[in-house]
Amino acid sequence: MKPAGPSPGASRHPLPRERANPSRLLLPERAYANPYAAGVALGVVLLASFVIAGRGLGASGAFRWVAARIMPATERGDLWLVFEIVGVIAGGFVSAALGGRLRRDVERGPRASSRARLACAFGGGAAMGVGAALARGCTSGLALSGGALLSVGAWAFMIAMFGVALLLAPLMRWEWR
Amino acid sequence: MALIAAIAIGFAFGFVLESAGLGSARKLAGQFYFTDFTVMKVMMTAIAVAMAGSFWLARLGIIDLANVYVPETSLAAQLGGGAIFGLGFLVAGLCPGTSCVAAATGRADGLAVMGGILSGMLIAGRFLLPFEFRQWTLPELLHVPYAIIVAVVTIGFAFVAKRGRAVIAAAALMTVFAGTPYTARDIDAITLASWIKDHKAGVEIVDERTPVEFAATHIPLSVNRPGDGSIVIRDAGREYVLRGGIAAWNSEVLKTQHPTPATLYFAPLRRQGC
Repeated sequence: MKPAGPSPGASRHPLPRERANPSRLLLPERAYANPYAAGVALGVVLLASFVIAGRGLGASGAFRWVAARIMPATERGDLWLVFEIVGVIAGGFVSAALGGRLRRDVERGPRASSRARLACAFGGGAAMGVGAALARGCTSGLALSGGALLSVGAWAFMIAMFGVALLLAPLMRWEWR
Repeated sequence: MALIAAIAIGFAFGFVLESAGLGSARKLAGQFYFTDFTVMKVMMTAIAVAMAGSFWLARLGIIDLANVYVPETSLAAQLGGGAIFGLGFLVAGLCPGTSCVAAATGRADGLAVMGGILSGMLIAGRFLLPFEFRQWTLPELLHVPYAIIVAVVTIGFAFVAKRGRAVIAAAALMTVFAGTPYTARDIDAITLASWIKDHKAGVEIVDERTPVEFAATHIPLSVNRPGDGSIVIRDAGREYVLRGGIAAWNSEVLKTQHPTPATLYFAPLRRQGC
């Protein structure tokens, strides 16, 4: 997708600006795409997945596949999603390279140390792993794909997820500002 | 071949996520503080487009919704799992898909989230999860036709759209009158028999043969509405046709009820639940 011009909200962004990133590639950094345009594009990708593969997008199922290889007692994983995630990583890399947004850093707020941010990332990831295993899906596979196909569980998951995150958000404000 | 498609679909998925800025934990976390609405805008737009798109592709006969996997529901597992997931999402600032994008763009926190998810999966894998999942969709929950739900979402979207409101409103209006996206498909006699036996809620059996044929033999609970001679089963907006008609019912279901010496011999045992 062609990135749109500077987004109107960029200057009003209340969270601190990006730290200097010495390891950026040569290409000039470009603004992110308009979220609605990106949403339409994502919807078309999801639709293509329905038509071509007969299923939606996903992410946590790929982690489950790897977990099942490490510990055979775990529930079956999904090899299709492992290949899909390989594509996600490649697509994310190419998009960031074209937009001049490749950087080697730890993204964090001014008050959070690198170590604290990495600990939060790992701990939060572990909670998501447990949650996704329970719910049999995550933001992509359950909320996004199931939501579009009117699955009751997908909407229940979305309400619980955003409800808890918004409720507890004040406790984590220090991580970002 | 399917795996090549998986890589291509994933590539487009990752490309779009990164383009929208969803490889940045700071941007995603902004959603929880109402300082950045990118997550909601991208996600709800994508859901609306894919929802209306799959409805119309199915309605026009280009795809069969029966062949698209719909994630199954267990309210307890998904409300509980969603709550734990929401806590993790808040703390990590990234979700599983976006953590892969963050890692791909060089961010170490993305990689840490990926490691965390894998550990969480391994922890959860140690426990047997007793939840029962089943196919359950919003039209069945709300008793509202599929088309109406899609139309409401489409209209809601017309409010946020800056351009093309008239087109979106027209599409919503068309959706209201579009009918069901499900195409009639076969159901076998044994499955139908199990539905009747279990008193599956909301099932309607319409026998479209002549009244004479109907009087001779018919499926329990079916109603006679003479038509094209087939037996049509409606289940929460979906339409099925009994494969093989009444003949299949007679041979596959009723035949099993003809007593044979063996079934007579074992019948008392079966009653005791052995």
